[in-house]
Amino acid sequence: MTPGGWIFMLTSWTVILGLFSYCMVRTLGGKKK
Amino acid sequence: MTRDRWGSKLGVILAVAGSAVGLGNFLRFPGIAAQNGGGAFMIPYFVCFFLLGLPLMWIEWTIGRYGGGFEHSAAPGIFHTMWQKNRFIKYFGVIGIFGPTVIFIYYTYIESWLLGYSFFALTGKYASCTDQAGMTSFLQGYQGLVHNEHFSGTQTAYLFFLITFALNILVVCVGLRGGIERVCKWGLLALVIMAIVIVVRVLTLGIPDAAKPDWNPIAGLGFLWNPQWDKLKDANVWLAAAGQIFFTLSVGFGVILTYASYLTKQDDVTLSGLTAATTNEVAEVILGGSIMIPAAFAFIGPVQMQTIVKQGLFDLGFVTMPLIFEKIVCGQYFAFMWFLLLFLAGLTSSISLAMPAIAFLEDEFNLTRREAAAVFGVVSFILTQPVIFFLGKGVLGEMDFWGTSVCLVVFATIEAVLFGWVFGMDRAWTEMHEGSDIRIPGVYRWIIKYITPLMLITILGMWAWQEWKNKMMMTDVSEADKPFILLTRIGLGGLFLFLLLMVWIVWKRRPETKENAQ
Repeated sequence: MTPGGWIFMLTSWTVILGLFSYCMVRTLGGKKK
Repeated sequence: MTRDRWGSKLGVILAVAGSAVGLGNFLRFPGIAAQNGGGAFMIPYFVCFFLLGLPLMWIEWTIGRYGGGFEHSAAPGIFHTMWQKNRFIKYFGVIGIFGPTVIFIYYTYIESWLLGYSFFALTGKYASCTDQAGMTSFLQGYQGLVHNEHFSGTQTAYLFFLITFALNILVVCVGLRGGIERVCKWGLLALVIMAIVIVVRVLTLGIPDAAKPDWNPIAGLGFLWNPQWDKLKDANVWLAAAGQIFFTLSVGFGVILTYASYLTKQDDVTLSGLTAATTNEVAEVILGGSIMIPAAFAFIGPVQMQTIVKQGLFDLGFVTMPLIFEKIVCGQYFAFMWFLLLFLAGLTSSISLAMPAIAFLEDEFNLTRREAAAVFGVVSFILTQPVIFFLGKGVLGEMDFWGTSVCLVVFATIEAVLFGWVFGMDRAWTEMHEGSDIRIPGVYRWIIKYITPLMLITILGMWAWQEWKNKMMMTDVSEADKPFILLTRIGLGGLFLFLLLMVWIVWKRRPETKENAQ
């Protein structure tokens, strides 16, 4: 895998995991309706 | 009749995520990415995610909840509540029932192959197939396309289809909390665990053939991720990215409208939509991208890999992957997990595809959930028969074309224009943030009103320009298959007209609409 490939893969994974973690923390930590 | 409701916020999010996480995440995405620029594909992919997928996700959650407030759970009624002055808009909503129903008809059959294959993996039924040709013959025998030493007809495939179909109808019969919510919660959890186990196994395969040290899983990841910048200038790559976003997020199907219609006015839609979308992305980009391509690359190398990717991605999943698993220790259990995870991904999607039609029957004809599921079950069961018995004649491909390629984009365009322009952006923005747990960045007011509809109209136009004439004239269909394709079109046209007639009857029978009565 080229350095460009690593950069794209790790950046994409970071963006997705970051958004997912934020959403899950907010969803599970939110007030019960 | 008391309106059905979701049991929890996480439940509805996982139901929508379950609808989105399907075969496309594991079978379609890796191949599309590898064919369209590798890592560079992620640029149009993310652009389409933020400008097309996410806005449509929020639009569908919002108008679904809005329509649910008037006790409508299917697109005809929901569209009518949004534009009451227009007496034709409800007929456009028929696409939101027709599309998912057509997809359900062939999707459950494909899903049943996965159940069959997970059983075969454990019992070693295909263990005698040791090469690509042998495994292809096994698949074709199973599908009833050829008679061989493995199968003498479609009996086995039909048995697994009956089990799969009955399971789908049973789940929707049980209802939102006990059925769909429970299946999606446990199904997604099991799916993710199995996917992680397989990803770890695949990425630790090392070098299977010492004579070919370049054939390894990391090089396979490179096949998927190494950027090919020149591809970005190709409009088809952008179209492929938009298509993948549509397909993967389940937007434009009409199913999110139905799921969101069972929320209350106080329930959040902004955070829920974002959470469902990102859950799907984890399954697609991180898990889906790390199984099939790296494993196949390590065992069969780049040249054969390219050939198979170009031939069709289902071949890679059904033919190449079982062969690869046969070569590793405890491979039959990994193969079982692979097919079971695909089956669960399919199941959580197919139950959602059944819901718009069932909800329509419940809401507009006052049927109970069981009665509506029974009517839907009988009709869709009958319509699946041509898919099973004329599989080799292109019936399934034709249904896929109308169900996904046409209905998805047309329906999404209608709902985006309806939301941003007819319902009105100020009203839409207020409605979207009613009970919301997060505020959507203000720039999305502009994106939802201008960019998303413009992108959709461009996709529709480009697609019509490139594909329409060939498809309509059946230029790529053999003479022998043309009558079957024509009959499929007549059948689908008949189904569409029947749904239009049902909507006409409902509104004629009840001049005092639900929304006027409130």
